[in-house]
Amino acid sequence: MGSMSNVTRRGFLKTAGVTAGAFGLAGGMATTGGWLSPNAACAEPEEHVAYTFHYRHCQCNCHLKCTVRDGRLALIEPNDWPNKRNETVCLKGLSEVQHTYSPDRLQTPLKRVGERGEGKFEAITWDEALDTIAAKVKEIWEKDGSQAIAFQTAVDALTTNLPKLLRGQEKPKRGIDIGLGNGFSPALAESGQQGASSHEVTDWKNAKTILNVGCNVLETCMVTSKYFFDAKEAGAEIITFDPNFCITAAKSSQWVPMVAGTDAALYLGLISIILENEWYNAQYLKDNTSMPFLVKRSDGSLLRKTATTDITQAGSDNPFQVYDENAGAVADYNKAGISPKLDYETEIGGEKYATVFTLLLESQKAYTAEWAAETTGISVEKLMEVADKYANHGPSILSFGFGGGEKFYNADVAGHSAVLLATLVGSFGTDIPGWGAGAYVNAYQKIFGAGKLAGWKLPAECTIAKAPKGTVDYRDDKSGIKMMWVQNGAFQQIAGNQNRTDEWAKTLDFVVVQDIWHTPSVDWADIVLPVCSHFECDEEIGFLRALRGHVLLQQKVLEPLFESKTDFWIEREMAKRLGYGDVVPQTQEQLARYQLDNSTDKAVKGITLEDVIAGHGVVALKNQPEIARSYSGQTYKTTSGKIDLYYENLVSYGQALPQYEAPNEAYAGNPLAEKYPLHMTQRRSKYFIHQNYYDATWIRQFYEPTLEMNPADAAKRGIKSGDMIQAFNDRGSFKCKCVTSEAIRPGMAVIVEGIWPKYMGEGSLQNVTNDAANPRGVALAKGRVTPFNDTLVEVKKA
Amino acid sequence: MTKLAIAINLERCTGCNTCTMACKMQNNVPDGMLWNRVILEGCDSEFGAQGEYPNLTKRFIPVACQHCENPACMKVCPTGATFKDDKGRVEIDYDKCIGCRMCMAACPYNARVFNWNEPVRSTGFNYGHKDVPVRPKGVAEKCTLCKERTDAGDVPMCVRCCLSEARVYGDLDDPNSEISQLIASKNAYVLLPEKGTKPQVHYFN
Amino acid sequence: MTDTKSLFKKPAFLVLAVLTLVGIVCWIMQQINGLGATGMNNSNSWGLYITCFMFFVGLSAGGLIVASSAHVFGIESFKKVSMPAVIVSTACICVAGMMVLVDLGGIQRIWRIIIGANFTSPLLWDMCIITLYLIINILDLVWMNKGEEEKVRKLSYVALPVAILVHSVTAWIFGLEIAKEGWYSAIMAPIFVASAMDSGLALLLCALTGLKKAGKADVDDALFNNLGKLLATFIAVDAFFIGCELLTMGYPGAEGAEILAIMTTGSTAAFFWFEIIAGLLVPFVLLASPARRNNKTVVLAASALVILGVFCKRVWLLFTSFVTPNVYGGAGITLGTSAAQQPYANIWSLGGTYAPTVPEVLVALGVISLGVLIFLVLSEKLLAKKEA
Repeated sequence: MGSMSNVTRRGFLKTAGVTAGAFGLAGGMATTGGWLSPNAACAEPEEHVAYTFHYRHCQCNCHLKCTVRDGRLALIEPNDWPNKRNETVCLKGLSEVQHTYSPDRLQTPLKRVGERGEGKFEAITWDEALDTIAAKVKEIWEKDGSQAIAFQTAVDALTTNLPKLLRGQEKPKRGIDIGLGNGFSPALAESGQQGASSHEVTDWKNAKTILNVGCNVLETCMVTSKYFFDAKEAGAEIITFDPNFCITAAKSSQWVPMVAGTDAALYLGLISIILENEWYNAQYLKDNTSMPFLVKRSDGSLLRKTATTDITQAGSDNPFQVYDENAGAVADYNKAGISPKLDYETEIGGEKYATVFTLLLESQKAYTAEWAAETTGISVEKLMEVADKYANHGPSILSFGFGGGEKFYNADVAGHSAVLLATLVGSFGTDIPGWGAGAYVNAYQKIFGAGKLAGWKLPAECTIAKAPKGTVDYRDDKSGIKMMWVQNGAFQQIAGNQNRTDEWAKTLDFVVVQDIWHTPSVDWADIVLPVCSHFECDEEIGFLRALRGHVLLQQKVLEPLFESKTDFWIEREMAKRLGYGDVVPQTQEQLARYQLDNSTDKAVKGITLEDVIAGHGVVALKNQPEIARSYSGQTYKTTSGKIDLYYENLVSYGQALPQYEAPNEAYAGNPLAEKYPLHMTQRRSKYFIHQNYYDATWIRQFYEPTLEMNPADAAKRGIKSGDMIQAFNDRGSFKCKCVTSEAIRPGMAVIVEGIWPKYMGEGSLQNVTNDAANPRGVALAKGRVTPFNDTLVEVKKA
Repeated sequence: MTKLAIAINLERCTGCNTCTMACKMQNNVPDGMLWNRVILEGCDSEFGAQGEYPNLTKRFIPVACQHCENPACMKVCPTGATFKDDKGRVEIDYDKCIGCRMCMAACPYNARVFNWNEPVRSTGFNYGHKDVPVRPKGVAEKCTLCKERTDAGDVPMCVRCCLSEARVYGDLDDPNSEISQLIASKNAYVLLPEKGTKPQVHYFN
Repeated sequence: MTDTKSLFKKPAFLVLAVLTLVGIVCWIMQQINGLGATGMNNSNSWGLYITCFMFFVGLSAGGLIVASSAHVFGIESFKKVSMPAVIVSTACICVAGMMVLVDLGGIQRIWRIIIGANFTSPLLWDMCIITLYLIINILDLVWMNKGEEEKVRKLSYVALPVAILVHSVTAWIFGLEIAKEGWYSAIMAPIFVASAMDSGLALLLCALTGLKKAGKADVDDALFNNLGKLLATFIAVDAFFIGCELLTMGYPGAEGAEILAIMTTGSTAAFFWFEIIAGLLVPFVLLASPARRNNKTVVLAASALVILGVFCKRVWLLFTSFVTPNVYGGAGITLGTSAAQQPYANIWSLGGTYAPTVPEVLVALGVISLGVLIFLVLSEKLLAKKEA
C-alpha cells in the first residue's frame, strides 16, 4: 500500500483520539485557547475542491462538489450542472462527511478464522487475500465449471469486468425489483423487465390524472420530489394508493387506502369499469396492440398465417391474424389499409377463435367493480371515480414502484394488469405529453440520458454464465453455486427467510465479500476485501458513467482511507492472477478515455475526457430531448412490433390474460392469520439505501430501528410506543423497538428494510420474511419474485 | 436596508431532513444538537399522522432561528452577544456570550441550542465552511442564515440543498425579490405571530 | 460567651464547611466539563440553580423589608430584630448571586457584561439591583453595628424600595418573557414580592428562633406573635395574587389553561399542590388564631411550611413553562447534552425534560452552605458583639 494512505490512517486515528479525550476532563479548559478561531484558523489549512458522483441506487447519481481541508472531507454540496435541475444532494450524500470515516469501514483485507457466519476474522495482506481467491477460483473452474461462481452486486459497486473475468453467473435469480416488471414489461418488450417504461418524470406536469400505486416517491426518490409538486401545482390530480399514510399519500391530491397486496385486484377492477363503460381508446387498441389478434379457444394459441409452435417467431415473418372489417375477412395484422375488429369471434376449420379483446371481456366478467371493492377495500364509488378520471380526464399517468405491491407472490399478475389498464386508455408511444405508465423513476436513469460508453473488449471466453435451467432461487439445489462473490451488503439484503440463507451459505465452498463497510453480509465471508468509498481513488481519474443525460466522472476527492482499494484495482489485480493481466485496462484513466473515444453513440461521440475534467466531471450528452419519452412513434421490440398484451408463454399457467391470484400468505381468510395476524411489510426510508448508512452516526441521530404499528394493534397486545417488541412467525423472529402511528393501516406492521442486526434488539428482520417461490417463476422473464412483503407475523412485548 | 430571510412552502416540504443535514454540515454543528430541525406537527414521532386512520393529515414544519424583526432573544441578552446585523440577520458574537441562557428562555421557537459540554464531532474533526467559528462549551448557538455564504452572495445551504425547492431565500426589503412577491401573493404567515416577535422566516402553502 | 474561634469548631460549622468545599469541587468539575454536568438541556434550559436563585432572592428581600419597615414605618418592635433580619438578608442575597454565577456557562467572560452591557436585559437589571442591594445590606450592617441610627434610618428609605425592586426585577426576568405562557404576566412581580415577604419573614422567624436559642437575639413572645400575625397576612396576600393569576390563566380555556393543567395534574402537580395546601392553606390556618400564634412550635412549623411552599412554587413556576414547547411536534427538540451525542439514544425530546444531577445538587448545597456560614459568622461577629 502507498505511503499516503499510511499518513491518512494515522491522521484519522490521531484525530479519533483527540475526540475521545475531549469527552473526558482534560479536554475542557486546555483547548479553550483556540476556540473562537474559525474552523480554518490553525494557520493556512490546505483546502481544495474535488468532484465525484454519489451512489446511484436511489436513481440519482448526484454529482458532488467536495471541499477537502487538510486531507479530510469537510463539505459537500451539489455540483454545478449545465442544467440546474440536476443539482441535487440529499441528506445521505451530505452525511458522507461523517459516514466516509465510519467506524464500520473495513480497513484491511480479512481472513475468516471462526465458523462461517460467526464474524471472526484476522487481518491479512492484499497479496494473501487475492492469491487465496485466485487459487480458489481456478480450483472451482477446474472442479465445477465457472458457472458455479456467482457474482452478486447490490448498492453501487464500481466494478466493470470482474464478473466476466470470473466467467460466473451475475446477479443469479435473486428475485428483487422484478415482481411487477415480470408481468408489465413483456407487453412492451422492456428489456430490463422492471417496468422501466415511464417517461421522464418531468412529464408529470403535463398530466391531468396521475395514479400512483404503492410507491412512496417523496421518500424513496427524493431528488425528483420537485417534479411531483410541479405537477400538482400545474393542476395534475395525483391519486396515491397505499395501505399506509406515507408522506407521498399525505402530499397527494387524494390518498386511497387499500388492502396491501391487492394491486392486481385494483387494476382488474378499473379495467372492468373502463371496458363496461367503453371508456377505452378503441382506435388505439386496433392500431397499436395485440387486442384484435385471434386466439384459438381450444389451446389459447395466437393464430398466425402459418401454424407454428415457436411463439417467439417475429410477427413480420409469420403474421398474426386479425379480422379486417373493411374486407370482412381474416387478414394479416400488418397488412396496410385494414381495420381490425376488436370484439370478434369466429370459427375456422372447426376451431373456435376469438380476439384477445373478446377473451379479455370474458375473463374480466369475474372481476367486477364490486369484487374489486371487496378485495381491495376501496369503495365501488371511489373505483368508478378513479376509472373515470384515469380514462376520461387525461392525459393520465399510471405509476408504481419497487417497494410495495412489487414484493408479493402475485406481483406479475399485478404488473400484467397494470400494462393492460394503461394500454386500454392509450398510454404508450403516442408522444402526447403527459401520457405514460411504468415504474416511477426507473427509466430516468436506465433509458433516458443513458449514453452508451464503449465497452472494453475482453477475450471471447470471458463471458457471463447462464443460470442453470430450472433454478428459481439462487439458494436452491439447481443453482449449482459453489462460490459467491458478494458486493455491498447483498447477502442479507436480497433474500427472504434469513435462516434458510444462513444454512445455504454454510454449504458453499467459498465466499468473497467486497464491501466498503462491515455490513452483515461481511460476516459470511471467507475473504473480505475493503473497498474505497466513491470519494476515494488512487489515481486522479476514477469511474466514468453516462447517465442522467450527462457524462459523469468520479475524480479523486480523498486518498484511499485505511488499506482500502478501488473496485478497479481489485479487478485488475484479480485479472493478473487469473491470467488476464494484459487484456484489462491498466489505469482508470485509460479505461475512461477508451470508453469515450470509442463510443459509437451520437450522444457521447466527440466528448473527450478533457471536456469532462474541464466541466468538473459533468458534461451534457448531445441532442438530449427536453423531456424524454418511451416508445416514441409506437415502436416496440415485441414479437408483433405492437403492444403484446396476450402472454402466450403463460397459457399453461392460465395467465395469458391476467387472472387474479391472492398473495401467498397475506390474504384475507388465510388460516395462518389466526396464529400470525399481522401483515408485515418492509418499507424504504429517506435515511438509507438498502443496507447503506445504518452505520452513519449523522443518520442515526434521526432514526433508530422500529416496527411501526397502529396504536390499536399495539394496545391490543399491551404494547406502548417505545417498548421493545418481538416479531415472529414459523420462520423466525427479531426484536426491536415499536413505534405506534395512526399512519399505519390497522392489521399491519411496517419496518424499514435493510437494518443491520447489530442495530436491532436481536436478529435480522429477514428472519421472518417470506421466500416462497411461485412455480410460475420459471416461465417469467426474470424468474420468481421474492415476496418479502407477503409475510404474516405476530408481535409481542419482548 | 437589507432584511434577509427565508420563506418555506410547507406544501412542498416532505420532511426529508436534507436541510437539517445541510445546516449541520455547513455550520460544523456538533453531535447531539441541530440548528435546523423538521418537526411533524402535532405528532409524537416523525412517523405519525394527525387524526385517526384513515382520516389523516400530516404536515412537516422546518424550524430554525426565525430571524425576528423584534427578536426576544436579543432584548434579554445581558452582554449584547446576540445582535441584529446590518443585513437583518440575528447573529451571535460567541466572544461575548456568557452562557446565561436568557436567550433560550426568551426564544418562543426553541431555535437555540447550547453547548452543554465540550462539543463532540463524530467525524473527529471540524467540518463545514472554513470561516464558521468553532464554538466552545458554554455558549448558545443557532442558525446564522449561513452568514459565511450569504455574505458572499450565496444562498444558505438549506436553500441550496432543498430537494423539493420548498425554500426561497431573499431580501424582504426589496419588493421585487422573489421572496417578497411570494409572501405577498401566497398570503404567507409566520410562526406564533401572537408573540409579536415578527419573524422574517415565513411559511406558505 | 462564645467567641468566633469556638464557632469554627462546632460540628455544624464543619459540616457546612465540608459541604461548601464539596460544592466548590463540583463547581470546578462543572467548569471543566461544562454545564452538561447538570440535568439541564436544550428543552429545559434552566434548572435547580435558577430555582434557588429565585428562592433566595425572595428570602433575602423579606429580611430587608422587615428591617427597613421598622425605620420607615416606625415599627419600634421590629427594630429589635433588624440586625438579624439584615444578616439573613445579606446571607441570602449572597446565595442568590452565587446561584446566578454557577449557572453561567461562560463565567470567564462575565466582564463582558460590564463593557458591553445591554440595558434592555432584565438579567442585567437584576445584576445591578442585586449589587446595589448587597451594598445597602452591608452598609446597613456596618452602620447598625456602629450604632449610627440616623444613617440606618435614612438608608431604610432607600433599602425598602430596593428590596421590593430586587424581587420585582427578578420576577421580570421571567415575567417579561413572552415565549413562556406561564411566566408572561404582569402579576409576576407582585407575586414575587408577596412570596418574598412571606418566605423572607418565615425564614427570619426561623432564624430568630435559632438565634434566641443560641442566646444571640432577644425576641419577646409578643414580637414573635406579631411577626406571626404579619406572616399570616403576607400568606393571604400571596395566596390572593396566586389566585388572581390562576383564574386569569384558566378562565379563557386557552393556552394558559394547558399550562394550568400541567401544574394541577401534570409533571409539576406535586409541587403545585404542596405549595397551595402545605405552603399557603395550612400555615395560614395555623397562624390565623392568636392562641396558636403563642405556641412557638406552631409558628416555627408554619414558617418552615411557608419556606418549603415557596420553594415548591419556584419549582412549578419555572418548570411548568418548559414542559410543552410552543412549536410542538415529533421528533422534537435536540437536547444537546452528552447523552444526546450518542446516536439516537437521547438526542430528541418532545418537551421539557429535567432531573437535577448529583453534582448539580452538591453545587447548590455548597452555595447554600456557604450562605449559612456567612449567616453564622455574621451573627457571631455582629450579634455577639452587640450583646457583649
